[in-house]
Amino acid sequence: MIKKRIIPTLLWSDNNLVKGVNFKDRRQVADMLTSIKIFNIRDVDEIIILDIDSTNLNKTPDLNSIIDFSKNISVPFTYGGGIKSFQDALDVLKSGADKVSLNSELYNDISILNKISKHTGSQSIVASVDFKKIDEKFRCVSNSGQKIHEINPIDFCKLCQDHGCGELLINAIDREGTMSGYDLEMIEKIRSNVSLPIIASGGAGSYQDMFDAFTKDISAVSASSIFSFTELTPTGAKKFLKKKKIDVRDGYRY
Amino acid sequence: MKIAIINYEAGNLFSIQKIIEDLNYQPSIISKRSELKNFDKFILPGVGSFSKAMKNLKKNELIEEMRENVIQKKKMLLGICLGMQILFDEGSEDGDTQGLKFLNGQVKHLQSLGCKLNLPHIGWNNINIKKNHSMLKNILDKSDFYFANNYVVDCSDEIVVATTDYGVPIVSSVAKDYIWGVQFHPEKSSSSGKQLIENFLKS
Repeated sequence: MIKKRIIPTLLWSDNNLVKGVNFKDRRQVADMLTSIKIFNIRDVDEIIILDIDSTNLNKTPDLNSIIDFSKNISVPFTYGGGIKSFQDALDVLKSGADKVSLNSELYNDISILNKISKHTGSQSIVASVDFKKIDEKFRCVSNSGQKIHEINPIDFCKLCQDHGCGELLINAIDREGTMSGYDLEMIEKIRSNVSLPIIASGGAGSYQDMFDAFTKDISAVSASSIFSFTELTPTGAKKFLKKKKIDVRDGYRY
Repeated sequence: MKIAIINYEAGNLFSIQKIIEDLNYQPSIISKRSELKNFDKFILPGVGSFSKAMKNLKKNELIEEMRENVIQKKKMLLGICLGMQILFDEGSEDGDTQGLKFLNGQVKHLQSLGCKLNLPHIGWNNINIKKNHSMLKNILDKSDFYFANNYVVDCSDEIVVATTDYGVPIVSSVAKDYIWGVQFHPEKSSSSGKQLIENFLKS
């Protein structure tokens, strides 16, 4: 049986782990590499690392740091931030990331998904779809929330699937950092329109929120605030979910 | 003991290199035929497309050298994910492509085997041990490993060491003589994966 995954997302800015609310008010939480080492010792299912500055500062991914991260992670990790070309994606994967997460570039040229997929297989590509409500309509946004696009997240997820993406990281910006629960309605709508594995992100405030999201047939939940600012941990989440009959991964036993 | 990690431009090599170093061995990363001499064990990692992988192995003239080492000199080989798949006869990813033919069987898309679950098959999934084998020493039945694949191997039960369920039963590890293969990524599977790599190095 495939296990439901609990994934800490680490927002990376200038070598520090930061945390924001609704993509604003970024606040430094800890040193990045130290945080990675701690999550690795805790044997989390997976780690998502998003460099939130690189796109807007027009920087390419910091490959040396990615190599450093990869040498300290013994579980899979996804890297996102500043990937603008097929070559950037390949470089990131060669530096040790298991998956690349694309966001802003998808709105310039969605065929980047086909190009990467053809070379590495779809399982190495995550489309990170940020969305928020604007004038009562859901819209996709990019560039760390700064650019608003006409397309709605459901159609955009379908488009990503058609172009060879392997997994969807769907992030409700209105919920980000608020700990008010995942956007279950949108998760459900996207789920019924695409067959790719879905990682829900944005809004986790309790283990119950994670359980609620898993009732929508998704593969993983991601959280950052609760793992940085509260006593809640990925291990605690698994204990809670296991009691509620969600299949989660136990650590190594012998 | 000299360990070669074969680099054929199919995915990252840091994770596997790191685990081997943590186990106090010094692996070498080998990209050319001329460098592939005098090794005791070979690891064939891999992520990507079957046809591209075969093309790169051919381009770097690694196929004959590997055949000599593994088939004739009976040196141990561990294939990981795509590195396991290309050990078989044939792959169907972007058209049929001939594999290394060290093992008998075909590589097929999960859908063609009747899998109706969401694809790709990504995440932690448990193995069902079918056979006692030194590969799985100190690894319990139902242990979780990390998978990331759309394609799987279809081969005879004789060489199957463990299977995994994902809508359909899939072959998750195989062994024949000196050749081992795993569909999952031991280098990304935390302590269970490290144990499997240790088993390979100590066998």
